Amino acid sequence: MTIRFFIAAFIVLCLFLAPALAESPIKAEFDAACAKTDDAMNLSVAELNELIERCSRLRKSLEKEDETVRKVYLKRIDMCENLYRFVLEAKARQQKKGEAAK
Amino acid sequence: MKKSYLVLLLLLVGAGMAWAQGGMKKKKPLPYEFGTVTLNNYSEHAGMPPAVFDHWVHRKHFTCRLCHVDIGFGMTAGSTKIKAADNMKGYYCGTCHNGQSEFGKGKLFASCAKEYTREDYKVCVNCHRVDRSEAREDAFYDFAQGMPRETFGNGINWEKAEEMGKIKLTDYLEGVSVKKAKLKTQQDFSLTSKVEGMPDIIFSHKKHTVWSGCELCHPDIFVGVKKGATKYSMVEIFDGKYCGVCHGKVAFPNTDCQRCHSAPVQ
Amino acid sequence: MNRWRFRVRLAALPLSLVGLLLLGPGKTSLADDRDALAKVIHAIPPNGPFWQYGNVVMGMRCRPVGMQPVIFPHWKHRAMYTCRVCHMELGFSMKQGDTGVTRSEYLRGKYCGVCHNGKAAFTVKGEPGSPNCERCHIKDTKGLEARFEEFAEGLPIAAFGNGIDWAKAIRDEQMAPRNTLNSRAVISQLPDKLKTPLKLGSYSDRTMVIFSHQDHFAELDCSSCHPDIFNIKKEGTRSFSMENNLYGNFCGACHLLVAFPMNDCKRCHPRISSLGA
Repeated sequence: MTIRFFIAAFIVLCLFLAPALAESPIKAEFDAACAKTDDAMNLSVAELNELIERCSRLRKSLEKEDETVRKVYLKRIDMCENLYRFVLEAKARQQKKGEAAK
Repeated sequence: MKKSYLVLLLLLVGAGMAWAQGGMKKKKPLPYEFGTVTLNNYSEHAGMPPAVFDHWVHRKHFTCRLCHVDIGFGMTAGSTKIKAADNMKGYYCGTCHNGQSEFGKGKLFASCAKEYTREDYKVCVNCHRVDRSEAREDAFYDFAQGMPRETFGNGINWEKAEEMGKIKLTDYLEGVSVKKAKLKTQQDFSLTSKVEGMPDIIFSHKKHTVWSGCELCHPDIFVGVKKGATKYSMVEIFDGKYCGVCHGKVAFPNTDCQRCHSAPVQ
Repeated sequence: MNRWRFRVRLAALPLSLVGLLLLGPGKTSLADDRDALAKVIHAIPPNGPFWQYGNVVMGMRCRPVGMQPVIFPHWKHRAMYTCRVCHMELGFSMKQGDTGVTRSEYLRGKYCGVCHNGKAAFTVKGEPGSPNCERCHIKDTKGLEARFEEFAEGLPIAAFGNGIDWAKAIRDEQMAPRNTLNSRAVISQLPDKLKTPLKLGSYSDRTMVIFSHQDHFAELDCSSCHPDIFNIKKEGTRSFSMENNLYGNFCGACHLLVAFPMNDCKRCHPRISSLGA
């Protein structure tokens, strides 16, 4: 009973939560650059490099923003970009191993 | 009578001196205190009591990553350096606690304000708590009553609670979270224990990623790419590194040996 | 009369520790000196009669409502359950007054109420004044004393504490306390490496310590002691001294009032000879 109540509450909650930045170009660009973190292991090296490049560009465009926005988004970009780099490194190592095996 | 107080005082001083050097059993947090974080980067400077955050109140509704990845809260107390202004602009606590978000029976209280009346201040003390609140403790025990039990931490087996459908965790906040492709879970693996006869550790990527995603741990907490390259020691984990980042103060504590050292001994 | 004896005993602990405090400021120098060490040992709280050792008087919430304090005999319970059952699974703290057990909690089946439910043991339920109340809120301790004499009969003898060598009783299978109340609980095995007793260095070879993980593991979990009481860093437990033990740190967390007391030198320091009077 309470569970159902909470589910309903969440749906309502989600509808109402819309911080000011929701429609801004920065959020849109961030979404595009970081939507694939959960799927990073399946990306190709070229795709990863492209996403990393996109993150760096986004970082630059943040410089003009308000202090809070900068703080929040720089941290979020860090996490996402670092993950891409981490996966890239893992892939490079795997490839090396594969070549050595041949 | 007075004498016995003096004696007690002296004894306490003695115990305090010894405690400073370790060896005294640290006070184990009570179930409702476990996972409670006190934030005091700016509060006291601004003339407010420190903000006290209860993980249990929030983790029964949301995944870890919703706050620690999407909203951007750091993983150690005080590392985020949240300012009242940040909250008022609708970030950090203010993402939800903005006075408008509907939740349960009503609206979530707004976090932080530039000016407040005596009446408003009653809202401030929701987080900027001066005293321990018995109502809050009771609320915890009422909630815990219906949850699967666990010996350590909050005394609640959160993982099982979700499995049993007792809690449903929200993982997406419109306007904050990113719409993502479905998570491809990486394989589980076992880590060999260094001590002969100690059960190996079974690490489940699945159990972790469902609440934490990938970027919360990699590469910040676990930086090694090659399996087996990093040697983790219990000393480091007890010191709050690696697994100890979460499994000490918030996730089930690292004193719950068998939860990780769970492989049958060969 | 008996209540007075408890009070005297309780008061003796802080008094003797204060005596120890006044002995001198030196942290390690104390133990270097034979006479000083002897004084430290004399600061150990008095053992009291065997049946009283490890009895905990809980009266914080009783006295205001005019109830007799509860007298909890560890000896009665530890024959049936290991330390870990109550101190880990049931959430009893190791410090007196820390747990804050309330009537409403044990009536709801928490703490004492887990076993004292009328099935595993006599129930905690009952109107104030009913005969069951007095089984814990003990007025007259003569019965408890008599039951101890009966209980201790035939168990291996120790010179201090309860006068019972509990570890030996378990080793010789005279006693097999239950290690968990949860039939599905996974109790880990002690790794082989830890089965050999540890030899711990001391100031002199004569006072070296033999520590058995196995004896402790029979009663406890790894996390009962690690890392809060003994961190696991090599040579990381600085300030591990006899004096600090006597303040209730390190070994003193248990071996002061419940597990065998520290007058029983030879149990840990097998090579020690008697230390002057």
